[in-house]
Amino acid sequence: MTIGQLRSESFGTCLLLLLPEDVIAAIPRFLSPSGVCNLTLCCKSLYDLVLPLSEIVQWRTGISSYKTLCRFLLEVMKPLLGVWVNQVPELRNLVYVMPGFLSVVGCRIIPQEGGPLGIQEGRIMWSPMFEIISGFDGSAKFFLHGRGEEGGFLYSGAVTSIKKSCNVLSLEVEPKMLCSETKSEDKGGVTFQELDVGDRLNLLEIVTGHVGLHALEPLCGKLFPTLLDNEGMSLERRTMLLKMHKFGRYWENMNLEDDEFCYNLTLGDLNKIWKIISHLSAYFHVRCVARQSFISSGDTFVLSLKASNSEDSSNGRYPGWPKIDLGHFYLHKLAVKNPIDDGDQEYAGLWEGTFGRPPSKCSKGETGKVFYLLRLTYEESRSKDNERHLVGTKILEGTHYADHPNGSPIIASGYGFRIPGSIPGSLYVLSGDHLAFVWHEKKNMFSRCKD
Amino acid sequence: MSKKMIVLKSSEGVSFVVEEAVARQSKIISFLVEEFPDRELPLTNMTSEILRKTIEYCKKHVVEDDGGGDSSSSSSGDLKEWDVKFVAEIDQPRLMDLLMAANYLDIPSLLDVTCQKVADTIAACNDEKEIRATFNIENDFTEEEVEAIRMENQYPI
Repeated sequence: MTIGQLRSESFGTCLLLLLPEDVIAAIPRFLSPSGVCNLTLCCKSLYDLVLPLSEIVQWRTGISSYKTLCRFLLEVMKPLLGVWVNQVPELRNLVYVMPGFLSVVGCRIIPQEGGPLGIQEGRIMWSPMFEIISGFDGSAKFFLHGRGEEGGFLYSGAVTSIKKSCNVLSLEVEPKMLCSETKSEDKGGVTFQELDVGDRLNLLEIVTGHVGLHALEPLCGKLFPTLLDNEGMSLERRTMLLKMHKFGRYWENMNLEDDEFCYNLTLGDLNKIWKIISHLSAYFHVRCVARQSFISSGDTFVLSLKASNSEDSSNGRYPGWPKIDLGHFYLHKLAVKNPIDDGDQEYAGLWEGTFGRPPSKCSKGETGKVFYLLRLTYEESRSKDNERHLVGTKILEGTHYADHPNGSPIIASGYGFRIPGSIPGSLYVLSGDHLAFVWHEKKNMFSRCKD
Repeated sequence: MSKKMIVLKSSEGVSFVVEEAVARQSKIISFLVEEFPDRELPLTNMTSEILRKTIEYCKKHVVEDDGGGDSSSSSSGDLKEWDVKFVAEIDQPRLMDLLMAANYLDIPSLLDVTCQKVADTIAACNDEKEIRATFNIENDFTEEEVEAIRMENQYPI
């Protein structure tokens, strides 16, 4: 059908139903759940067409009630969504947390060069780091993703706690008593974070070694539903993960409704770990007391994700960058503000960038330009004029090892975050989602595109 | 410096001479311009009327680069206001046509604006009966079927 002839060709018919399916697919994104529900009630065609397209309705099929779904969205998903970093994001520790299918997925953004299609069309390379899926009752099940020589691995664990205003994410080993819910902290024992770095690493290695399960497709991929997937595929993957979480290595022959058939078997394995850890603790006498206290506070040990709040998380020297303790395996949440169109902060947010212009395709034979991820924020000047500054903070540099630390202002004297001030230059707005900055002295150009 | 122009041809064979920057807001045209530079681009499945309307939108949304710095043609607040007026003025058949044009030419911002307008129209209806009346949809559900779907999709208060 020629576009532009609806008026003459379709008198008296429903125009909405004449739209191609992919066009109808775009509409529910702008509707509230009740709007989607009303639309699906109009006729059978719209019910069949719109219902599978509405994410919230799809998610409802895998969870006991909307109330449970809302609880998962508010208590698990909302606090975790966003950008998480540690000191060396160029070594793949920039983690973007986003919704999956009835799940929250944390993906490492891999340092990379702009692809052959340029930064606007190119896709960002990433690899999954962790995933929290919702059980039928809304409970949160944690999986750490990893890769071994044999391919993808999944390591199941627990979500210990998620504070609403969390800004620190930690991977821990948590002791648990089999017959009671008492935690080590409740008993006044040493916590995981109070252990020596070496002990913490050992514990993580032992527990992940025990709970790791080889994962083939679709388990190690297909984290995000696409329009091409059918709903069944996402639900099937989730069911497999729930089984893995409940039954461990025996998951393939079990049904989710089965009782904890293999629980006692895994108990035997966990006892073996207990012995290994005990052996280690007896071997190193210096750290023995803390370790012994930690171990004696539980008779099983599980991998655990904790999202806590640290008030002392701002970095005095590098404003806007979290204070990072290298002795802990923490990820810190990076505050990224959304653009405010009506105000004067329309360029705030996460941007992609590269040096040179145009930031599009590379010519033949030319290697790709280094790809940057930047956060743009607005700051009031401390000087008398009270000018507002647009500050670009580098959060990822697409090189094997970045010359300049992340967290440093990219529009600043020689990148040097130790030297306050900025290099004079001009910012060009090429379009609403395309900026360019030219350093006056060097005539270098840095181009950015909205992520 | 003169601006580079390209020619888009509608289904009726009418030629539209457009600044390249304006036309490049369509990802499809942007691709075609690079693959077939200096060629007239035939859009044989778009009428002149809808192509003209699409170009009107793109002209408003292009950010002019006159070499004099950051010269956005309109502030984002003005643009939003203009968008609302732009879709408010057109009737339902033309809105649907424009939606299809935005999808076909891959102009994400126009697709968003037109989808939002359709969604706003749906949201303004109190129930499915009003939506049916607004979009001329024939009901083929029984009362029992409607009730069963309602029960299934109950929302928490």
